[in-house]
Amino acid sequence: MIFDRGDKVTIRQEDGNPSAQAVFRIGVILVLAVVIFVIVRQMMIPASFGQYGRYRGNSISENASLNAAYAGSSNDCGECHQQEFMALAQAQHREIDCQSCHGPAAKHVSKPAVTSPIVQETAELCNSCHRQIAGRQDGKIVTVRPLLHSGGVNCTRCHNPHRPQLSFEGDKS
Amino acid sequence: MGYVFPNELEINWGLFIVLYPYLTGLVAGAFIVSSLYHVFRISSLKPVSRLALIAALAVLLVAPMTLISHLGQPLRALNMLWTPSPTSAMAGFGYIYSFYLIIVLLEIWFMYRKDLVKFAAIKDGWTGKFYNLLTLGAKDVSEKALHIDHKVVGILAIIGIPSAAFLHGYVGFIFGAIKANPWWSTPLMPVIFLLSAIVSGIALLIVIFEVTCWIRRVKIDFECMMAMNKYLWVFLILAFVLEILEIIFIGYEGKEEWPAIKGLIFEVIPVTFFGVQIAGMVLAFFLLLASRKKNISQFAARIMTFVSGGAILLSVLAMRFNVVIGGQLVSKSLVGYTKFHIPIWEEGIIPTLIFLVLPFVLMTIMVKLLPPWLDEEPLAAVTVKRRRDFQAARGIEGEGAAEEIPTLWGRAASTLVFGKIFKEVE
Ligand code: HEC
Ligand code: HEC
Ligand code: HEC
Ligand code: HEC
Repeated sequence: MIFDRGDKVTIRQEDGNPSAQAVFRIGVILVLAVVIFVIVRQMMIPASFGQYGRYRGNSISENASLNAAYAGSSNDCGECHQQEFMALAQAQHREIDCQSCHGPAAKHVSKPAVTSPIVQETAELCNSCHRQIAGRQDGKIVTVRPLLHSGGVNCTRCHNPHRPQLSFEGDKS
Repeated sequence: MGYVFPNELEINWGLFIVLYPYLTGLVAGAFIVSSLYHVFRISSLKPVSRLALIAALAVLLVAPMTLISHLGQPLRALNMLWTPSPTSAMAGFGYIYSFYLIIVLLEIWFMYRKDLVKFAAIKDGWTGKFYNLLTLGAKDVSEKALHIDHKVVGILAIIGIPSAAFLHGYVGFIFGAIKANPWWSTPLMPVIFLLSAIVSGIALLIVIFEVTCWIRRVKIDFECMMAMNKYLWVFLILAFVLEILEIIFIGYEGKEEWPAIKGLIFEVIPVTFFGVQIAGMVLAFFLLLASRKKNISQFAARIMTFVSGGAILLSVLAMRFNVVIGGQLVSKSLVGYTKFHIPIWEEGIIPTLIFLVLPFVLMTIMVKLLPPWLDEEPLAAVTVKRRRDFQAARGIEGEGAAEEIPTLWGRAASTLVFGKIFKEVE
């Protein structure tokens, strides 16, 4: 068969035994693709993969050698933050560690002046435990509907996070 | 509503995971239509056999985008290819998908090889070079070579049918194998997914075929349309029966999960379940049935087939939604339901719409590059000037030889303005 474009291009049937040419070329490309895939795969598999299971064995030692971000417990904070510690110890939040609200603070304990923990004065902090949602049943933890309860106003305007229950005197010491 | 566990508040598989089985389903269905022609020699489907493959490829390219966007960490998707777990159904995806993609690409290539060689010869400049590259240098278009091409296409289509069934059945398998979820956990799931996939694929082709014929202003191949109409109807019955059977079965068994599922379909998702999924199928069933009555005009039959196609496309989308989202709404406690809030951006409605439109954009581009029309003189795809030169060189003269070919938009506009819709009928 010939497709000719006026004078310029003329393509004819090639000589020899070219009829399976297309299949042959595709075959070569497919084989090449598989070979490339196998090679790339070999390069991409991490060295220690499968040492213990279907994961990177080294990740265990890597994680073990990381420094702990959290300090031991609230007691570590008490040495320097007497006031908060005492307040918390008597309040409903007594079971909560300081770092639940202030974030990991191991660095702060060793070098208080250099890094300071997070102080999150947002309704989101309290809502993450106290917002009423399906699946958080009353009784385990007291829940409120933030919009109805405070109009979404920041909870620390009225509650002291370290001593959250409001007394009739309404103080926020 | 009711009692749900705290970790069920968030619906983890959102709209993208709804789209994924929908899109792969369209692929599988479209592919099966082309195979009906290539393998089972149903010649009335010839006019859409190429279009079906182009459509399948366009949708196939978009399908994994939804999954990868859902991951949030796209590059991690590759880890599954590097270190797949042999016992994970999910991990098979990358391999099954790639295999199928290769089959479709090869089938298209062999089918178009003759045209590619032709285009490489008659187009100038970069387009010519581009087609030249696409031929991979295999420019032999002798009778013998074309015969081999034809055979290869047949073989690929045969391999393709189980692959397509596997690609989509596997999606159903993943849902069906989750034993903790009563709405999903049934061995029927892969079969249901497969049948609804075939149904949606045929519906997609009906819609595309009708629309493209309208845009190209050619007379639609009525016989082909009615053949698709017939297959849609047959597969629709199967799909419908299985989907209903599953629910009746759970209801009749009446195990402890039935009240939860009953509540789900009657109270939580009644609109998408009865209003779209079931109603769409029932509507299509009767329209298709009526459209084949003797006393119905061709025009009416076409409209009815087209509407059924649209209804099925919506119905199957709703079905994917009801399965994927519905399954996550039922609490493991079996006495409560979570709420699904459709987000706007993140895995939300806007990217979802983009993913639904994207296959059609790709399709338009591919159809421009590789015209699938069998009714058109292949030269129409060439620029007017080239065609003139070509005809002059070959000494073809005649009426309208060098007539301007109106652009797609020009045609659409003139059709709208002059109300020439369905002009070619009668
Ligand atoms: C060695 C003494 C010491 C220990 C132990 C200590 N802190 Fe502090 N902390 C300080 C000092 C000093 C400051 C004031 C630093 C400043 O204002 O920059 C401070 C400030 C803070 C602040 C306020 C930061 C701000 O931005 O206003 C918080 C919150 C805090 N510490 C929490 C903790 C917690 C939680 C722990 C226990 C894990 C802890 N601290 C342990 C000495 C300590
Ligand atoms: C329920 C969450 C919560 C817990 C538990 C908690 N804090 Fe706080 N903490 C806060 C919030 C919120 C503030 C901001 C206070 C404010 O605006 O009144 C704060 C402020 C502070 C401050 C800085 C006060 C200031 O005026 O800048 C220190 C210091 C502090 N906390 C230490 C601690 C220590 C030590 C503990 C553990 C004994 C602890 N907190 C436990 C929520 C908490
Ligand atoms: C880490 C979870 C957690 C966070 C964050 C938290 N709380 Fe609490 N809260 C508790 C627990 C646990 C109790 C004690 C159980 C109980 O009595 O409901 C409690 C008790 C209370 C109470 C006393 C309820 C009562 O009448 O017995 C109040 C008020 C309160 N929290 C307010 C707050 C405010 C305001 C914040 C934000 C600064 C906050 N909580 C942040 C867990 C949390
Ligand atoms: C306008 C002041 C105000 C604000 C702002 C406020 N509360 Fe309260 N809250 C109160 C008062 C008053 C009480 C009742 C005290 C009591 O009954 O002992 C209370 C009680 C509570 C209780 C105990 C409820 C119970 O049934 O015992 C919780 C929990 C609580 N608040 C959480 C919050 C949270 C979370 C926020 C932030 C979204 C917040 N509050 C903001 C004033 C406030």
